Amino acid sequence: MKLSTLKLITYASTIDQVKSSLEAGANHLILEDSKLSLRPFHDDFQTSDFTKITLLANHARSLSPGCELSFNLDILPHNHHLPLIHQLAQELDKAFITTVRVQDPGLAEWFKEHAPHITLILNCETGNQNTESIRYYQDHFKAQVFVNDIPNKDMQKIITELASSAQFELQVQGPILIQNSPRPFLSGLTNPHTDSTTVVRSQDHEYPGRYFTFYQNPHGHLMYAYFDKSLLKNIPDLVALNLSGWIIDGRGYPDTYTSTCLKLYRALTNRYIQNPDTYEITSDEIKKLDEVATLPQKPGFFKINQTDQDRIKKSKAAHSETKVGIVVDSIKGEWISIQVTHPFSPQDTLAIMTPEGKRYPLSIEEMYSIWNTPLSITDTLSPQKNALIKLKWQKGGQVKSALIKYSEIIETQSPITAGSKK
Amino acid sequence: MLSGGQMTNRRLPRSGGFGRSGVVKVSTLAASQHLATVRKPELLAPAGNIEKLKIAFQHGADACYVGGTVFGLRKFADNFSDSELQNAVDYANENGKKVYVVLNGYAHNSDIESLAPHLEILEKIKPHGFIISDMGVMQLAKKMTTVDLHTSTQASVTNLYGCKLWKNAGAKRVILAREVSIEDCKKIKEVLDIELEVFVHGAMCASYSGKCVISNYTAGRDSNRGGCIQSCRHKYDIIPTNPQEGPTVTSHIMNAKDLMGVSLIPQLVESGIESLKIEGRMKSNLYVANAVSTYRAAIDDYCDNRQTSFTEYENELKKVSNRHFSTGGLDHMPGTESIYYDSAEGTKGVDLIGTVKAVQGNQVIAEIKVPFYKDDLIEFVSQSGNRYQDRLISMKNMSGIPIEKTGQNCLIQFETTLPITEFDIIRKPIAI
Repeated sequence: MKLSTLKLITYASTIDQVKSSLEAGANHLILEDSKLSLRPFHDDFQTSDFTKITLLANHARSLSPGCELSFNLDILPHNHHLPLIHQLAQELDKAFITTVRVQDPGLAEWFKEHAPHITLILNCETGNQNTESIRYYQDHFKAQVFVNDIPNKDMQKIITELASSAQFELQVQGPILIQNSPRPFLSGLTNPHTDSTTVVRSQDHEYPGRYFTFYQNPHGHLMYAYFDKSLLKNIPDLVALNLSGWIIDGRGYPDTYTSTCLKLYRALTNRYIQNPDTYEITSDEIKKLDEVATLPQKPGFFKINQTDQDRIKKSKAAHSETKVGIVVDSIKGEWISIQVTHPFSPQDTLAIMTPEGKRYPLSIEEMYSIWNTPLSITDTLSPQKNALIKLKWQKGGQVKSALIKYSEIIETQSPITAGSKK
Repeated sequence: MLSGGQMTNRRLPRSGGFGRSGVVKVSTLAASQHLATVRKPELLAPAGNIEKLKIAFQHGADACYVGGTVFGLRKFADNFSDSELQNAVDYANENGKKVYVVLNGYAHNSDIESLAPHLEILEKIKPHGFIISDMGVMQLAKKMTTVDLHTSTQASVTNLYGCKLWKNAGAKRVILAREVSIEDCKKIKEVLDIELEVFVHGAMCASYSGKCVISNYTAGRDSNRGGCIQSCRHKYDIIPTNPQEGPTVTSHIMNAKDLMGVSLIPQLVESGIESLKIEGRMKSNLYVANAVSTYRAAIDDYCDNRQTSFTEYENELKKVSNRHFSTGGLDHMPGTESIYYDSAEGTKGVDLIGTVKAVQGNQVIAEIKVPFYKDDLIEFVSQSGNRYQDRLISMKNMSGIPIEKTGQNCLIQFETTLPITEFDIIRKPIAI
């Protein structure tokens, strides 16, 4: 157990959200204005200034003088947004807000030039998921929000590898953003869901029974996973990470979702810290969450992330052998024609590997150019000199089979046997 | 033998030969009024394998981008082994071309561990650039290699300050997000000394590239580590949250049309953007040859001859399988006109038949991908810029046996008097 102070962070776009979140125990409010915030589920596009932020900040401080405040500037800004960011910076000074959260790391350069007194928190949403990347951004950002793709084990490693001064936050609860597009997809449908801000459910025909949320506003289209991320059942793991803040995202849901989650995370964490040995989550507590949630509650990739593991295995295997050619024509019992892709000698240890992965030893007794000129089997073949060659037909010599040359490393592996599948 | 008398020799208007990039003096009055010289932008082509790389170079590309076996984003492309990469770089160097290696996945720590030894190998191979989207990978590559670093479009750099950040991090070039307009590129070029690259042709992510993880959460495939299942091409039911808003609608709601920027070549050239990129490492030989030769011709004809009509080029590009076209974000933020809601199916005017693999005198050997009959009207996409139409009089299989119809995935041999060369493409117009 490591956590010293539990900081619960949540989003607020309205006076009501400020009030309900602080009353439910939030320590830090991320204030939003839809002109520069990507997905507040609140429409500020009709206003031309950011005075709302000062109003929200003043209200928050009147209710909870010690609460922390930041602004969420998480659009991917284009050059035409830069004057608006200037305008925002001026308003933040009036509101005495000195922390800004960004998705675009490039904004670190903007703030360095134009508002160097602002401290920044990076929430990339995607990427920035290895130690080296996070280490680089430490010089630019006071804190970083772990992306949802990083499993707990990797977060532990990153935290250990980086300096103790590093601050990390994590979304522990709420909808998972899985796509961000500037294109207003919904506006092109014949059915007129064409308001500037629109929320619909969707179902992918390839994955029936899963319902995704589509949210469109003037920044474009956002798609959410078919479940909410919920780490309510993982409080001990979260405490062990010793993060600087836990983010509860209730945007798009009734305020009761946010306030219920804030209270639950606070209560469970306090109970765990007081007595970790006897701690367990009760069915009543799970039921309380289920009563305010509309989607399944899952940990996402917090426990493990095995996406694309087969690709990594494949790349490791590729280093123990060399593909030197590919069969481009096969006339059974007569000829196979091979496109040479890498230099090799007919004297090398060779095999034919079928597209299904079956391997057959290949011995070359005679060979010909594609124009039927005999070639010496003592020659080294290369793609430049002998792009195409012909061999007598051999088993496994079907089109798209590969000609494999084994390197010395392979000698420690199992011997090749006819038809063996690797 | 091809019946030369019936041959159609239609040439895309182009000039120059192999290795045409560089500074071109423009002597017309109109040109001298605003620019004494224009630098031809690099034409950058996709190469899923060594053959496509050679096709791209022979048809006019200045550079190719390729994936290695480690950490590219196109898991389902053939990708290059280390030795194939060496061959590709050697071939490029011999011909005054460049090869960029994509390392554009978002790395987890486990990926970084496998990447370090790969970088040591790549440093010896010495490609002309790495395409990188992950800041950690960039720092590792900067530390371990001397290869030029290009920030991938996957990093979704949309503004001047993103370019500054990546430049300070070590990037020589930034490949901007596909939503950035040519006008914005000009503004960046005005104040920042950095090479810019933009996509001009091919399929597009519906999302900001690198900002989509749909596959991760639906199929367990990492969109940003080469496993994208293209969920954006799927059909979706759109269900209003309030039934009074209308019935459920079914649509390919996120199916982005392909990008075609050939009509914007003048603006692209004048903007000073260094590199124009064609998407499609998983696309066919025909796609590579057709797109490269068409953009080569368009760039050359604008720079050399101030040609500003590009209808013929657009028609040529439309012949190859596509999902209809838009100009993406090159001239304005893409809207509903950039989505093909009705279907994820492609449309095309020609089928790829095959690729010329060897030529000796009048004898030609071609690799055939799609069967055709001897009497079918076929068309050669020549790397000289020509398009030849004709019918074969005779053809044989590789045992020398005359055949009336080819198989699929096989070699054939035929005679011709046409100036066909290795890496020319054979296609067949689709009967309407």
